[in-house]
Amino acid sequence: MSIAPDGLTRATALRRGAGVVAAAALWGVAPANAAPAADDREAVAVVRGLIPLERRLAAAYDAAASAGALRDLAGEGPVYLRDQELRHEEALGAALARLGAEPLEPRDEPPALGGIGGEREIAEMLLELESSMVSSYLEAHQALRGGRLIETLTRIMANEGQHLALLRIAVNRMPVPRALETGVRDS
Amino acid sequence: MKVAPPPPELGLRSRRGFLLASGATVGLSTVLYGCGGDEPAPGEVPNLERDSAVLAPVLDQEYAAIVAYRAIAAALGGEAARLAARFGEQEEQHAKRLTAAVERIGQMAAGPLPDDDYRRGFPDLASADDALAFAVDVERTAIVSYLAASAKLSTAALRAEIAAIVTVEAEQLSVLLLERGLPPVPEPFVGGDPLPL
Repeated sequence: MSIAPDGLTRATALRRGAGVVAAAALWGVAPANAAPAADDREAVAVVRGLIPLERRLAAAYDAAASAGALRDLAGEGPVYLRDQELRHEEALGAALARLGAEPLEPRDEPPALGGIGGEREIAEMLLELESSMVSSYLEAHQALRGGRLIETLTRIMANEGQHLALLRIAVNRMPVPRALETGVRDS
Repeated sequence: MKVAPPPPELGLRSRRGFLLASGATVGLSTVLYGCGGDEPAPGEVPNLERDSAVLAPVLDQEYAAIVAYRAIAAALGGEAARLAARFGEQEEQHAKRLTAAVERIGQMAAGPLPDDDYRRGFPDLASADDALAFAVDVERTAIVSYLAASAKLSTAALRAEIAAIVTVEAEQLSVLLLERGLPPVPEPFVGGDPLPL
């Protein structure tokens, strides 16, 4: 697993309950603000926290494609899911613009899959990233008020769940193991 | 006022948990937050009666899905039938969770209609493909229902719960599309492209 700037893995930070906004702080994109969100500044902080995670997932699927892994994923291969992550990023960028915030500039990212090799390892890494993504979106639902932004985030989170289902199939696990999808790691 | 935390299985941290008033009376719309010094989100005043009204059709849709999956499983064989039965069990859990969520905010949850009331709207399931096509419709209907609710709920813990449930509906949809030999993840935004914010 690649390492975030301060030596703490992003996934570890999320599992420790750092949450979306703190994850944003980890990537140096917004100050952490732990209070529940209700105004535009909080929405901006939450969205800014999600964008780097989407970029990271897109890069991970790209890396999987470059490694020739998971060619049958979604019937089209990893680039298909990468393109969906890029669409998510676009939508989040559009949300930032509508909130009157500056776009988030791309940063140099550490290697998305940390140089690991085999197909199964790559699928497991992607599962970990997607699970973290789902839990980040779940926290965002708690931090933001209702309305179209929440509906957009729900649509995206549901799509990440679909990616999870396909990755579980790729590693011969039950695709829909539980009635609630919270991003908890599969046992 | 006594308050109840969100369900622990959502994995939401108690410090940011939302504490909901129980025994809400008609017109009550304030929520007390008392865990770890959290303050209510500025400007967010949950409307518990409205949230209950928003969830009512979603809950009824789950009851319909439970009956539908029984019919779908009966029309399938082998592994597909087991899959449908499993999805039906998950819909039952969704209905229980929605009922509990409504009751947690001090409102009354409606029970299911008689099974025949739901069956009246079902198509003929003359073949396995009919059954799978119907299952896809069931999931798409569920997703539309949940997405509509997500934008309207005023209680944060309910929004999170809805999101966790509809994500499973989307996962089920993908599996069913695969069973039908169709693209399992046809769109990056489940339910269609989002409307402009």
